[in-house]
Amino acid sequence: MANNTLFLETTAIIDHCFAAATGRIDRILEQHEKKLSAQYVRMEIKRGVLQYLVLLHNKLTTYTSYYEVMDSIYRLSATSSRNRLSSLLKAMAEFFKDVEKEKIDNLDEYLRREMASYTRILIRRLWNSLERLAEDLLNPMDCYLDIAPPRQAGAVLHNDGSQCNKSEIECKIKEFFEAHRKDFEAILKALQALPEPDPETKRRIKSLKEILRLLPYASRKFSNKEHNFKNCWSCGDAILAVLSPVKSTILTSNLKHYQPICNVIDRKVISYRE
Amino acid sequence: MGTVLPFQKKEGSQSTEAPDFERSYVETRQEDEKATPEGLYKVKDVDRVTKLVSIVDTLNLALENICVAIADFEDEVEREIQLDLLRNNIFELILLKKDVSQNFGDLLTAFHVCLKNKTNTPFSKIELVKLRNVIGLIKNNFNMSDHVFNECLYILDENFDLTIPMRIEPENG
Repeated sequence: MANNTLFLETTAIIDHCFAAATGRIDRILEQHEKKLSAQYVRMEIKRGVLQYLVLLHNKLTTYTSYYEVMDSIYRLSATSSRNRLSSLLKAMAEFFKDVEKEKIDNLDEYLRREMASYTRILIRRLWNSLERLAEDLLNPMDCYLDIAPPRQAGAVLHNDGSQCNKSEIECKIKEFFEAHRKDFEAILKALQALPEPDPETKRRIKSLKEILRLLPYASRKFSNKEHNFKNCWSCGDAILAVLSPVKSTILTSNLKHYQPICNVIDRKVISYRE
Repeated sequence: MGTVLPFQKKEGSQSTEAPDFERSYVETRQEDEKATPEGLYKVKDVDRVTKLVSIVDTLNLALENICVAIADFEDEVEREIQLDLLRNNIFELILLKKDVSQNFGDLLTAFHVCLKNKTNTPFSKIELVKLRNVIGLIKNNFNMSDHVFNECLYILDENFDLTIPMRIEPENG
């Protein structure tokens, strides 16, 4: 069964929801009998793309004009998430402005209201998409068991506990690393052998080294409740790859980072990008 | 610990948002001065009541229009006339949705996306039946719970493309 099992990594879930590659992902999903994902993916979504959507929503509900919202988005650091946000904003405005304007008292207010509604729909679709796309969410390390979607407070949304250290429950990530120590050591070795590692890979190597170094010592802690919890985030790709069933196929847009990891732990990796 | 549904309000959270229509109407009445016999029968907030009546009327019209479109599905012109009327009903509801329950308003936006998306290709009969089912759910759940909202959103998401507003190319590139 495992070789017909598809494991959906974070980028696949997000791109499916954002219509970046929905059709291609759907076709790949149809070719696999079993589809899995992980609670870790939800954690990554909550502290990543969801933060941006909540930011956009709250600007739409509290700023007094569309151009003010647009300006404030452009003032953010130029990252791929910022670019995605401004593209989303422009596309939504283009879609919703196509109405019978003579019936509307204040077009700007109407636009912001409809775009805020649509952003809330988008957040819900993204939150629900894990259950929709995957039959099961793997979570052997008890990652963020009490994770919650954004909540409404007045006109704005609050993404409380966007980082897993706010969880009431301590995770078992150290036990997970102990159980799969050989896999992580193989990954570290493979990454260290890469000729020109990019900054993200360098961070991953550093974190893996630190985590593997503390494993033999019971007194040295590693979890969401410890100061070193961000080491887990830096090696998220390695964690998700190890978490996926042996011989399964990982679906991602991030072949560059997953390929060297999957090569050494008997996983296949495919991309939905053309 | 119970599961927190999307947008569920935490217990004890301070909400500054305009409360939903019916609750705020009751609260307004409770805060009024001492009740008098004639005051018991006097409607204080005429605008809001008028708005509620308009919404219910428009929802009834929308349901009627889509039922006729389904019944006369084979008659293309009649079907298109009814669907244009339905589009107009939904647009009118969107203009009325301010200050009404947020789930209700958000679902109208999703409904609007489904209708607008189909201006170039005809609806199938199954799609129309799904839309009718959603209008029925909206009509019977005016102060919409998260559960009903998610049920309606699921029906729309399974049968229509809700991602269109994200894929529009701006006119100026």
